[in-house]
Amino acid sequence: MNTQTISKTVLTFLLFMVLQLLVFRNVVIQDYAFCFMYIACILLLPKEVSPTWVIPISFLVGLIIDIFYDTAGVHASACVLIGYLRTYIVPLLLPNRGLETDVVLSINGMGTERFVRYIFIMTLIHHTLLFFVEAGTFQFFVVTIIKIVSSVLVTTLSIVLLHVVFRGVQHR
Amino acid sequence: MSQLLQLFYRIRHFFLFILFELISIWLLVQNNNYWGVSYFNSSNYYIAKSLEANRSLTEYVDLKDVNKSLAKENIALKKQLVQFQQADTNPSGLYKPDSVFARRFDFKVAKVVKNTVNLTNNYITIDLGSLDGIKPGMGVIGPQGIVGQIKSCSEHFSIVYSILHSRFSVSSEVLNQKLRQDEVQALGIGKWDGSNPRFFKLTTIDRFKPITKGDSVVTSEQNSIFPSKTMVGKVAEIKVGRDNAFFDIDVKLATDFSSITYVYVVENKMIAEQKSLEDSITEN
Repeated sequence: MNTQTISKTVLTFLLFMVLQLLVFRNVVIQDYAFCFMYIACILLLPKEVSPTWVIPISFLVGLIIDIFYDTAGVHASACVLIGYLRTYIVPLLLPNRGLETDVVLSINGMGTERFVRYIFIMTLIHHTLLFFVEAGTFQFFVVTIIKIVSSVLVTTLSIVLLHVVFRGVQHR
Repeated sequence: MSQLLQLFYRIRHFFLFILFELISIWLLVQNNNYWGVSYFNSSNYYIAKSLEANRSLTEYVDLKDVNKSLAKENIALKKQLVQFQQADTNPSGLYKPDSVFARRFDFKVAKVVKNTVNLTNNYITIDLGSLDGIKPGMGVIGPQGIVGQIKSCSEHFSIVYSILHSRFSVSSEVLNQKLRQDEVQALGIGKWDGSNPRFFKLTTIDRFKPITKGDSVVTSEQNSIFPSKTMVGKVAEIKVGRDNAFFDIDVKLATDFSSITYVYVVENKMIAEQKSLEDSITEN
């Protein structure tokens, strides 16, 4: 990784965090669909970053979000899970395993379909853990499921759209 | 031995994962059990400051609603003033509250810095803290009705349990003409069921009390943190509970939590005395 990649990664990282905390924190559609697009920070980290770093970074991201949402531990636990699973899910989605290191985790590097599938799967894992931990019980099962499904759709859509918009920033 | 170490090395990421998950769970449990891990929530000074700056951007948009609610409150206050003046000129009843007891409540105005309504446990952050004399356990009411109770304080900010919290309950009373004529009270426990931020559940009122739709629900005399007769909401739907003994009442909340901007923190100056007296009985 050269300095340019690092600075771009850090920039994207900050952009997603600031957007989540200042704008998307207030976006809740019909009390059910939440937008947690900040997880793109973790999902779009370059593939060369070792899991030894990805997991602590995920924890930190979750913790920062938790501080602003007053939900100590809820986002952190969900983020650590996707940070850990990322290493195992990315190779499954890539076509030719020999050339893994060349692939960039982006819409250009993976192809639209694969990229959307990657974001969708990770968002689903994250939101399922998040909403069940947040509810704290299985008592509101149906409500929680509705929240998960609608939020996964909103989050996936906004991550993909934002990624397309910021593609210039990432790859120029 | 070296093979064992090699195995540990190979699954080191798993250990890392477990470690951070344990920290998360620890945070989660801490936050649920104690009054504030104050570095990791929005009463942290810097976090609250940045949220406040964020809030100030949207404040102008809300001004119209704030004005409306202030005007409404003025009208309600005026009405009350007239009521009290009337009551003074026609003294009736044998009970007269002693002036210290009647003036035991003190109010402070606070501004809402952060607020959620869609979670299972909702909290509100306000811009008054321990330096302003706020203590955990004080009640919080808004212009339209009750809001919650202080959970924890930092020097300049406090976190409030909103009544939209799965573990918050408030002793409430239904008021109407018929109940007053019969001289009976309809006391119940109000609790949020976690689904709709505009409605509240009221239980343990026995089903033979004459309650109708649209009756006011207020806090009862048995409250030590809220002044009695503080508005909670209006009865929206009455059902008979599964056990057939009590009503299951849906109350439409008076406070609109999604647009809440200013709140009053209520201090009961005699709560320490009351508590110590009550505790002295349980000790014996």
